[in-house]
Amino acid sequence: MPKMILSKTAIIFFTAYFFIQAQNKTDFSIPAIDNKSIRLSELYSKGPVLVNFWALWCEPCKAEMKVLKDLYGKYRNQGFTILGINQDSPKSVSKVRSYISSQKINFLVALDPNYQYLQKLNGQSIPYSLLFNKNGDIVYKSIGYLPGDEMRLEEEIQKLLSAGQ
Amino acid sequence: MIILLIGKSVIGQTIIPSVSNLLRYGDGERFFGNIKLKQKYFENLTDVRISMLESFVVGFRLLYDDPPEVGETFHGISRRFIEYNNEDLYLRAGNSSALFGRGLALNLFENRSLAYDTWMDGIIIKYKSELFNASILGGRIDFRDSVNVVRNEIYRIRGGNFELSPFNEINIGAAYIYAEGIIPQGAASSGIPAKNIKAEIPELYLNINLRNLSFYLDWSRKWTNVLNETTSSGWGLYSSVSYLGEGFGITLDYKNYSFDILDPYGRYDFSRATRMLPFQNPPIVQKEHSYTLLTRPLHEVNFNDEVGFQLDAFSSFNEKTTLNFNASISSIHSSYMLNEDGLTFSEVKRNNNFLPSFKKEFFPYYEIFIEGEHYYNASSAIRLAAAVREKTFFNEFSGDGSSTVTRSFVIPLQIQHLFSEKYSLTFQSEHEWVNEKFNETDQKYFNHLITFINSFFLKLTATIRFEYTTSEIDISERKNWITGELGYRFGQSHVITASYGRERGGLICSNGVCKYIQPFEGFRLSVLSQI
Repeated sequence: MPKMILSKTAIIFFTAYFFIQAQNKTDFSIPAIDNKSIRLSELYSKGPVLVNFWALWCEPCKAEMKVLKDLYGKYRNQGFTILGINQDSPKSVSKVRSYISSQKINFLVALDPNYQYLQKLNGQSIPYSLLFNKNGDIVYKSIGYLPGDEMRLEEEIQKLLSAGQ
Repeated sequence: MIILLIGKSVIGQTIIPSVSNLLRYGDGERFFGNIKLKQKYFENLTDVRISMLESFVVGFRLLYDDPPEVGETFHGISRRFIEYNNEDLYLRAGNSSALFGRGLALNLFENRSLAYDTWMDGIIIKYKSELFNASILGGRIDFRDSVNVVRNEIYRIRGGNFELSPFNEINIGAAYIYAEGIIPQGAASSGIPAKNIKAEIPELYLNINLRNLSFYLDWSRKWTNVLNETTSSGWGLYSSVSYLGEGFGITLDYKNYSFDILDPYGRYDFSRATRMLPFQNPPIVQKEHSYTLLTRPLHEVNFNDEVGFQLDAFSSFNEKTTLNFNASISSIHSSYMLNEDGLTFSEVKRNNNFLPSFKKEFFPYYEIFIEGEHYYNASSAIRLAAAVREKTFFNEFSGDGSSTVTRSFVIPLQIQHLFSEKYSLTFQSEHEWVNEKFNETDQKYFNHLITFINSFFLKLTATIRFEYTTSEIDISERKNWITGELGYRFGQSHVITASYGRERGGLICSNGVCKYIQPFEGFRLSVLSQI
């Protein structure tokens, strides 16, 4: 039985991988922390977008938010955007605005209290980041956060910006 | 309806599949006192989503849990759904989560590590416009108790939610849930017939989001009609106020959950039909910690009878230094006195029972937490925290006013340093002093946890965790636990983790759902892929 399940899983993976090479566009609208609606395609049509899933209870996420804030400050004038999607459950949502304000985070933050958008992008754990180019293709992904990950991410952002993507 | 919509245009359009897979394997022993039990688990979970025709998604979960680490054995398709989503309209048939307001009436979610799953199998329709959002849903919830997985509660629910936004800053919402349920009584083997219930749960909420101030108020009532018995009613109130300044944010939360206030006999009957139902899950109004020793809770939130506050503040002194302060307190509403017959209780009400009490007969719990974080360069930081927690358990059955008070003081320290792109080190130390006082008897001990995380080339991590206790009453009858773990990231989408060693068990809570996890000794492997 495990063999059968694993072989089914392998077939699913292979098929998905084949299709993903061909086509990768993603789009959705998500409520922002100030109740306004954000459409992903409107963001990536203007330049590279990093979608980052995070939560207040997740220490690596908060460490990553710090470096993302710096990257945003560095490249926002060149068209780079970040959309932070908060994964706190309803119990902590009230604290999210307070945290954002204290950290002076000025990129877009949206709420996903029942993991609907994390599932849409097939995330299983956080922090989880996806970098979209101007065409809506996912060009870089990162699961988890290790100090220094931002160097690799910055290289990818620079590549996209220099290619006009 | 969805099939008809698909039929409009089918082949030759964009198809975007996405897949995630989590494989978990473990081989070792669980400890129940001095009894060792062999435990092997093998779990493979594949989530597939196929987006097509821009607006449609078909998805399923292929699950192989045989044997699972927690929960029940399963192999096959555990979830499937079809979804239509355009600018205004959202339709979904199949398995789904859902949330109304802050979850006082409905919050369907899954936590696999606690074997808790209230996802519904049914239909959801949502419509949104600039002025309002509306949704209706209906379906079946097959709920396995996370403490006793052979207890199976079944609910058929129907409901709706309407949210009006006359201005961007204001949301006014109303929700209603009707449920019919079958609730087994006592343990699965008790032989007590299950109870059939009908429940109605209306909810009203208001959300105001101004530039520097936000306010939220949520009220819900619950009527439970147990067939052939009486109707019980209860209610819950949650509110929060946040104020935001320059580099500063403060939030005050309030809870008053009175969904099923009962005397001590009723309170400790966790299978009673009148309690808050599993598809309700309001805010816990306590801090959700990330330090290991603080994630072991002294207090389990009692959603049926609890009142309390939480104050949480973040402040940045400059770009590099942040302070977080959190304080919370809670208690039950009324105390109960054992009558002279030695069997029955009388309720002793207090006038101000909308506020928590520090008196021992109200089972008070409080917690004060403060944490400072300083970044001395972009990726290198030091964090130092302190937490005091105290829980009182009052023995109403003894009639002599005896109580057990557990006090814990924890100092966590974390230093994270990036030496170069090739190497970083995170060191974490957590020390906890515990004092358990039963009447005049004191028991003191400490727990200490040290963690080293070495990261090489942003791909490989090597972690060592060592925990030590001076407690004489640990369930595994051990004094120390050591685990080594290796993690490797393949490309951008795969993470493999292997660990070997002894892990200390304990109570774990998330979202107000708690489960006792037994100590484990052995090998674990997990492979996570998100493509």
